[in-house]
Amino acid sequence: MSTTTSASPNSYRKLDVDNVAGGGGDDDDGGFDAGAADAAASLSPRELEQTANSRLGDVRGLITRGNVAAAIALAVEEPLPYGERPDLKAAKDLAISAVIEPLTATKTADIPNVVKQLHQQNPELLDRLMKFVYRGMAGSGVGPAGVVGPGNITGVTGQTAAALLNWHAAIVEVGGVGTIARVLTDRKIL
Amino acid sequence: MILLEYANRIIIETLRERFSNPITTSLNIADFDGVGYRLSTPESKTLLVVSMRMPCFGELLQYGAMDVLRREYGSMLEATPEPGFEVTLKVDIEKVPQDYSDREALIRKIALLKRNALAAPFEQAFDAQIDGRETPLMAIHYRDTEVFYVKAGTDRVTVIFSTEFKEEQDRILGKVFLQEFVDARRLPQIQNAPQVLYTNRDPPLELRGQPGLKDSENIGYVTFVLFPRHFSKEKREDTISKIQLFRDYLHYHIKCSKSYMHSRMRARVAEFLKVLNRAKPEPVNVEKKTIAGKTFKRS
Amino acid sequence: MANTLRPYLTAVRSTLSAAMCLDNFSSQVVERHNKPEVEARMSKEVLLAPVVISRNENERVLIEASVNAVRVSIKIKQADDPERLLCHKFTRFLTQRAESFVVLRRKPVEGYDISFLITNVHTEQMYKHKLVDFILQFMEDVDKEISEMKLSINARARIVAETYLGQFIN
Repeated sequence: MSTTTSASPNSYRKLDVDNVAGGGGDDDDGGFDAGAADAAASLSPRELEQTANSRLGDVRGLITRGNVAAAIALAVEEPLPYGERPDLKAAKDLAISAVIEPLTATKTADIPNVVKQLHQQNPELLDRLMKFVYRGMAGSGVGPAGVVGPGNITGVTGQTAAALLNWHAAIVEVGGVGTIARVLTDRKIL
Repeated sequence: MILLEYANRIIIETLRERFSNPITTSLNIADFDGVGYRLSTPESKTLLVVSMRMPCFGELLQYGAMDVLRREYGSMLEATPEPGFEVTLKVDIEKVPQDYSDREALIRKIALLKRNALAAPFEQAFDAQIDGRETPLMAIHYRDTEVFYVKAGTDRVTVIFSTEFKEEQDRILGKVFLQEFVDARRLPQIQNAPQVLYTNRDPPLELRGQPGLKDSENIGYVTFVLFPRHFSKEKREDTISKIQLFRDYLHYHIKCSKSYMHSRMRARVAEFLKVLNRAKPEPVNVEKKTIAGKTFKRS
Repeated sequence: MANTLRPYLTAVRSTLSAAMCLDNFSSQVVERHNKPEVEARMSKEVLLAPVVISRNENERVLIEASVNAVRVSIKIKQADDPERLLCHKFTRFLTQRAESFVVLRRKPVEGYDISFLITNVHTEQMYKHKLVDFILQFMEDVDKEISEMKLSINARARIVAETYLGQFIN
């Protein structure tokens, strides 16, 4: 659930529930993307796109230099374009490619090592990486209300899927089923 | 049983019985392609009347069916058929040959009534080709929505079936089957068989311009190309019998495949249910006893 | 390519096990009602993020979880017309018997071939790990069944053609 509320613990008492908890259909964020109200929401879509673009460039550089672990760590860093607004689509595509490229570039034998490295660096990285793994398998595209539905499944090639499945298994090996559970329960939808 | 019989089995068995034991009879029998028979003894127990109802007989008459029937059945053939029927044969049981094999031959000949009626256009085409003549395209609307065409060419006789698949599934299965027919020739043992061609929806060249062709996704055209070796003297009778039943053969096997798939699916579903039931835990022991000796059930 | 099957099934297994933490939860919107929230979709806070696991463009599994129910939708591999026909018939056959299957959904989610709906009632009555086993076995067996049926149809077609045409030669 939302992790960052800078207000005092009792501020929820002052919240008018009926106004905040939006019904179905209107602004999808409702009251629940309070988590996205941090770094990402403060940036406009254009800025997010630029960040994602420059990050993609850096990531590619790191891959060519062979440092895949650093590439991944950089790619999953905040700020990331969360939320379902359609104008974020470009930024999202860039962000997703920034993660998928190092993942497919790694040799299968190296995957467990990279995962361990990331885990030692910061366990949260694995959670974020897992989210990207699932997102990658869904294919790119923004759907309504976070439902990965038929309209936006552009599909994933066999090769990418094979690599992603290997990463999935490796991450579960190190991080346990908890990494999956954290992806399922995370409000911040990519 | 992969191949269909082209002689009507019911007639064979009935005649066998009646010839040895004549009784008053009134039987209505069905055959492939909408053909019906009626066996009856209107005048006396020993005079059996066999009548055939065949919707396309009018067309067959054009192609000389009456000559063929006269040739085969001679004096048994009645000049005027029974009302409601197209052909009538009268068989005098007392005059039936005593010799067993002759009798069987007669029975079989009567059972081939449909086949003989339909043989006319084929015989015409084969004779023409052997003489070196070509014939025009002969069309026989032997079923409601399906037609077959026979044409003699310079070096071959072409038989084209237009067949309708009433359901999407039939069409897909039919395509698989017909593709195998087309491909079967590459096997060395089948190289001398007639060539088969198949098109879906678009009629083959020989049929272009024919009136009454239906244009629909469900119509397929199968062309058999028969060469002289297929209708040589020894082979001719057989070839005619077999090729007439092609459409029924195809659809029979399509239906067999469908029922086979059904039984497989049913078996698979039972399997799944078994696996699912494994997920249910054992029911907790229901009867319990207290120290004092009273038993009670815990549900 | 064929060896993505094991990782694919392992990924589905671990994701399903994680998603199948279900609890009884009455509807927050309608009094005295208790519906599977993943179907009703009335409150946002009880729904979890949906997740897709794919093996290639043609095969994928969509897992949508909520507080008291999980919906698993499977897209089965269908490469050509006969396979499409077989898959369609098979799934129709199954969904018509959905009542005896308990966890099967009568209509698949759009874009997929077949869907399961597992609620807290089912997880209370049956072992969770066995339910996951069932779904995985289902996925494997459906693929196997369809390819076996296709093979048998082709074999039958070949025999039918050979027998028929063979008669003209003898």
